[in-house]
Parts: sequence; C-alpha cells; structure tokens
Amino acid sequence: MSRLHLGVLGMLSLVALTVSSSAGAAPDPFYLPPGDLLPASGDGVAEFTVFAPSMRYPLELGPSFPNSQVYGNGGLHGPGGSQCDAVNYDYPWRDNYCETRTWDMPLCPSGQGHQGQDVRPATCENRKYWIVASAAGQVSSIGSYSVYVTTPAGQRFDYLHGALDTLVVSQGQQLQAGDPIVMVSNNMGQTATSIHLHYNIKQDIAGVGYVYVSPYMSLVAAYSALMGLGDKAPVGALEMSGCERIAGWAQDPDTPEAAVAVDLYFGGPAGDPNAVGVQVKADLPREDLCVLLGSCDHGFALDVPVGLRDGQPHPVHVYAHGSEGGEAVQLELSPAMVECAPPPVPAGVRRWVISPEILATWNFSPFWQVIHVDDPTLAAIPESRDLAEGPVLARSDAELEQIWLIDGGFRRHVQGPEIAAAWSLDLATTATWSAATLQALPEGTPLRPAPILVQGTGAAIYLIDDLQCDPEVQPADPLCPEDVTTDTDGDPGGSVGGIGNGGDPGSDSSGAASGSDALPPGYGANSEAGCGCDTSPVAAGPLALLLGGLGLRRRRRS
Amino acid sequence: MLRVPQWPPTSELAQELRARAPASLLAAVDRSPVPVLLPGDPSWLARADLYVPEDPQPFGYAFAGALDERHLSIHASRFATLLPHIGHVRGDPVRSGFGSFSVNEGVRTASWIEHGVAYSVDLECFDHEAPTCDDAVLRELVAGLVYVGGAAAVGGAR
Repeated sequence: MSRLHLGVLGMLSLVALTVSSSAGAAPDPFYLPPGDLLPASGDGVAEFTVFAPSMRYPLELGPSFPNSQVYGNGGLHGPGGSQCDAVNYDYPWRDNYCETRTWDMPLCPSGQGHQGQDVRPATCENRKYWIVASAAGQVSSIGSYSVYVTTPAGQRFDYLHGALDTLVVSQGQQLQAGDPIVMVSNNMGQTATSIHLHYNIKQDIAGVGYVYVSPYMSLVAAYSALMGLGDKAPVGALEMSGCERIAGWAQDPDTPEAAVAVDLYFGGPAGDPNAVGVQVKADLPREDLCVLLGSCDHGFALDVPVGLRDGQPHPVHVYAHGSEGGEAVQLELSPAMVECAPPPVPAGVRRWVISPEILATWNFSPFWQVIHVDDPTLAAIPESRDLAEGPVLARSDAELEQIWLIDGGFRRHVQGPEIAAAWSLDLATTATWSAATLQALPEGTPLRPAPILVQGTGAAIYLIDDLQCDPEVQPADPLCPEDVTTDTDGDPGGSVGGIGNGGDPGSDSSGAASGSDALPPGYGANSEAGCGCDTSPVAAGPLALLLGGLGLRRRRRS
Repeated sequence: MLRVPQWPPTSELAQELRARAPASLLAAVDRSPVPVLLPGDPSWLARADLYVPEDPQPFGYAFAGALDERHLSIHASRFATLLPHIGHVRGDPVRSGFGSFSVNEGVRTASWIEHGVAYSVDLECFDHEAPTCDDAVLRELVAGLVYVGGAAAVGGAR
C-alpha cells in the first residue's frame, strides 16, 4: 500500500503526470534478484519459484517497472520527490514482496510484510494502461478497487487500484489470458494511492493455507516473454525416458560452459495446473557431448519418481532455462511418456497422514514417496493409528548420540544420520531428556530406513510403518493383540502384528523414574506447573505422549 | 496434492440460512467438493455469487458478496501445492483451526485450515478505515461463518 502525501484523488489530477519513461532498452538482466528489497525496507525472501508458469504479464504493454511505492520516490517512507520521478520508471526491477508492513504474512522471513508486488506502467499517467488477465479464469470478485480472477485450479490473481469507471469485466465472467480488465489508476476507494497495479498471487500452499505467494519471478518470466528479452535459446534433447531414469542434455549457447537448469514436468506441460515440476542441473559429464558441444558437462538424469510408477502412462515435458533467465525452451524429443509398474508395497501397517499440513510437517512428498495401489490392496493393509502431527525427537542425557523418535508413547531409535536424512528429520530440534524419562517409554521398532507412503484411488495418504504394541501403553492400538510387545528385532520390513522379542515392556516403565524425571515442558500433561494430579510422572508422561499421538481422531472422511 | 475434507455432521448444517439462500447460490453450494462456509448474516447473500468450476475435479469454491460499500470474498481450496522449502507454518488459532489475520492494501484478510480445507476471507471497503471495516469486524465475520453444505453433505459426488 502506498498512501501518497497527496491525500485526495482530485489533487492528483492537478499534477501534470506526463513524465515519460526514461528507460531505453531493458538491460540484461532487467531485474534485481528476488528478495533484494530497497535498503531499510525490510527483509525480503529469495523466492525463485515461478508460481504461475506461462502466465501472461498483467499489463497489456511494456515497458513496465515493478518497484516499491512506499519506499520509492514519492512514497510515504521514501527519500522524497514525486511518484513520477524518472527513477521510478526505469530498470532494474525491484522486488517488494515482504517489504516492511505490520501485517501478518506467514511466508515472509519476519512473519509480516507486503503481500504482493507493486507494478508501475510505462509512464506516470492515470487511466492510460490496461491491466489484462494473467491467466484464464473466472472473475470471482469485484470490489471498490480490486478485481479477483480465479483459475479452475483455484489459483487467484488479484488486480488492485484499477479505475472502476474503465472496468470492462463483470462478476462471474470467464476470461482468457490477455483479456483487458481495467485501467491502471490510483484508486484505493476513498483514499488515493500512487498510480500502479498492486498484483497478488494467492494460492493453497500445503503447510500454510490459502495465502499470498511471491509473484516476482512469475512477473519476470512473463515480462521476458512479453518483451522478447533474453538471447539465444538453450538447446538440448530428451534422450531417455525409461523406468530406470529419464535423461538427456541441455546447454545455453550464450554461456556454453555453464550448467543450465532443466525443468521436467510430469502429467502435462509447464503451466498445466495438474503438472508437477522438478528442476535438475544439467551438469553431468558426458564424453559424447564434448565434440558435439565443445563442452562436456551438460548431461542430466532423474530417477522416475515413485509416485508415477503406477502402471499408467505419464507424459514428461522437459525444458531448459538459459543461464541468464528468459523463457524456458522445450527440448527436442520432448514430450515423452513414462509407464512403469508400481514397486512392491513393503509389509507393515498403514497410518493415515490426515492433512497436507501434517504431510508438510513431516516433509513427506507424495510425488517421490507414494506408491499407488488399488483399493483392495490398500484395504488389505491393516490400518493402525493416525500419524502424529509432527516428529518429536529426544535424546537421553546419558547417551547424547542416540536419537529417538517419540511416537505415540513409544521411543523409536533413529539408527544413524542417513536415516534421519531420509526422513528429513531436523536433528537440531532434538530435546535432551533425563535417561530415566526416556527409558520410561517402551522401546518401539526402529524407524524404517526411509518413509514409504501408500495411496489408493481416494485422496487419503498413509505411511507404511510397523505396528507398535505394549501392554503398558494405553489405549493400545486396536490392531494389537492382548499381552503382546512390539517387534523390536530390527527387521526393517516389519511384520503386521508386530509381535516380537522386544523384552518385557513392564521393566521399561515400571517406576524407574522419580518425580524429578517428569517429562520436559511441552511433552506431557504432568509437566504442567502447579498440577495437582495424582498420577505418577512415569505413568503419565508416556501416556500423555501416547494420547497426543492418538489425539488426531478423524471425523467423517470423504 | 489433494486435501481430504473432513465433513461436519449434517446436524451442523445452517438450515435456516439454506432456506433463505437464493436457489442459484444453493445449487452451487451443493456442488462444492469442500464444506461451504458462508456468513451467518443472510444480508450478505442478497448480492452474492458462488463459483464452483464446472470441472470433474473442482478446487473448491469462491464466494463474493456485497453489503453496502463492503465486499466480502471467500475462497476454499483442496488443491494444495507442496513446496519443501516452505514447510509448515502453523499460525495462530482461527476458528477451530490455525492461520493468520492480515491486511492487504486496505483489504482485510484471514486464512486458516478447517475441515481439512484451506479457507480465506477478504473484506474490502470503499472506506477501508471505516469502523465497519476494521479488524474486529473481520474477526466477527470469520467467527460467524456457518456451514451451509457441499456435495458430500447432500449425498453428491465426493
């Protein structure tokens, strides 16, 4: 937001806003990196994700100059001058997503900040330049100074500060990318702002919700396409698309020694909301390329993601980026198809990962870790308790090197850094407990070498895991037979039923700890200060953890 | 990835609001693949639209309503984008879930997860400093959202 020193709409019309753009040809690059905000204007975020690939630039014509309104010339916190100063209408572009504000913004480093990008048109003239639709969608809201367009995939593009008397769309209208919407102005309802488009992209981010994401690199890509910026297009080929790997090569003729980024989109071309993109570096040495390209290290390869090994054909589209930006170019022989049989599902029980937030907290990836099965196969896997909200790690003060996952009242050994890495566990979050406190928890099976998820035709995703049983942990998992212990024989394959030689669980939790060994704050109900509870810490701690793990009870699943 | 909506029991349906909702709006509500939350005050429904894409896999719904010089927009989504570098930002309690309240160019916004679905509300006013458009009003509006249905609630496609 950029409320001007001039407070009313009428006054602005008195100012001769006729400063033409002083910008000549766009420099290369024409933009400063994402997150590089104006000095003393806050902490930006170096977000390189293009959230809207292939979108249309939201102004009909260039040039155009995204930069700060509030901290730029003529802005409320700027160095003075006028909004029409030439410096505001010149390259390079400057990110102002996450610029200092006092408003919550979960994706900003400080937790607060500006939600979008301010974009100036070619010149400082009111009601002259058309705002156009970035993508096809439906006009889902028209406010006093905003127009929202929502795509069929639910991504929302917000266009603010258009002059409503120039509006050419209506509520509910279907738009195509490039369709005119309204003209750029200083409209902000009753209070004027500077002449600019405030541009947001809002979408559903797992682990956060329906929030404003950085539009900066999407604008960079769209502007490059609009203005024909960039030099020679990268070249390359998709040479192999088998079940073992997908491979090829790519090079930017402008920088022949540099390794370029290659995007592989599965399920559709770039820009398809159903496509999943993966970026790799084309930097693998290939002797055969030395002569062909005059430089050798331009190969790329990617294993076929587990999530695509479902027996169905999946298109893969492969694009190479120039080393200095510009629009990515599809490689020769792209697209291709991959069709691979699913890998076998390891033995075990399944545990529901009930939401994307929990999936994100565990750093699970449906794309890389989910095995797709038919519904009878899924149903045949016994369903154990739901997965906890997130991993809780602990170590004993007597054995600091041993890391344990606290899981539903059990302690489960994380057998080495490789396994911790495979599970994306953040070992820095490991809490140190007294030995007695940790030993009071029954030992479950060690954590498996890597997470494996499974999904049927429904949306629910499950973790394949070992059944954890111990008579001391109540309420027991419904799958546990009476009077059994967890299988702790270390078999990573696990066994349904989980009954094994884990020893006498009673000896693990039978009053070994004293009151001073109560669980650390935040890990059990008995740790609450002033609790007059009669329950012993030993019994209550593990029970509280178990109950915590069982606390996520489902309601009706669709 | 797809979120798994957790549907409230039918007993929580705001039957009175359903009875007062325009038929066209109610028809859209009943196609929604996620639980539809709308303002409990029926005045918001007089000038309102609800958008559920004509798509085999609609993302959710978008609602727009106007009252005086205030505009209310609600989005609900089940299509989450998973970005490993972002992870989980829990936020503050909002209704029965977690999320955040914010202001964007004078537009007040709330975002949160509820029923396994990502919801967002935007309140925009011609005079964004008017008492009828302050933070308390947004929080009251969010708190007053009621469950009016969805495809699963009426036995439709899930």
